[in-house]
Amino acid sequence: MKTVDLFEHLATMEARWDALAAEGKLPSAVFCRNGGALRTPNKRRLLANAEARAKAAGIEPVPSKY
Amino acid sequence: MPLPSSYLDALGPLVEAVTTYRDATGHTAILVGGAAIALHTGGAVMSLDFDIFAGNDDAFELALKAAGFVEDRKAVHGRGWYHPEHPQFAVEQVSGRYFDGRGDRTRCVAMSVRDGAEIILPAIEDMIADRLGQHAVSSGNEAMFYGRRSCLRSRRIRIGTTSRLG
Repeated sequence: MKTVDLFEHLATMEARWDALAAEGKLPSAVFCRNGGALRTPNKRRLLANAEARAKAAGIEPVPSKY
Repeated sequence: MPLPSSYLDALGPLVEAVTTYRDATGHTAILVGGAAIALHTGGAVMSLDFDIFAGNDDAFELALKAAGFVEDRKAVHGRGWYHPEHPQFAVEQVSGRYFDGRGDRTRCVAMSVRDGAEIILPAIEDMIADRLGQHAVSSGNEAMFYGRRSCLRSRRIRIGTTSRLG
């Protein structure tokens, strides 16, 4: 199994995305979201609960469609 | 589009659970789904839940509890968890076989987080295959297509686009 350092990997990815952005080749984040139409009931409940917990704690929820 | 620090903070207890599970069973738990894409792509596609495949669900449950996770009792089937210090995220245990028996565990990638602790991700090829499969099943869910394309672009693999989605 290949082992990589997570933080080095993330730095590499960030540089890569910056380069793509400079080339105007980034896909729109809007289109990257899972539309949520095919999620299972359990997953919907799980995501809804997470959003509710975030709001209750005064934390901005992570965007998600469910 | 770096991963937010809150995401990496939330990863900490999960890495702890994965390490406990490995030490207890000798097996690795693998982060799959959107969270694996978030890490593979450096945050290009974010996810608020961590889907984990462990193989031994009961042992992983114990590891999650030991790491401070709380069962999401409101979830329909159980196997849903969250950490009180990171309430905006959820963890779901994925049952069954790893990628329905089609994934290659020997090609997984271990991402080292700190000394002796790592999070295991599927090979990027298995992630792409999984996203393509889900895209086919969902008959046009563009999120699956763009998830795959993000994976490919993050690895400098050039692809064309379909006439319908391009």
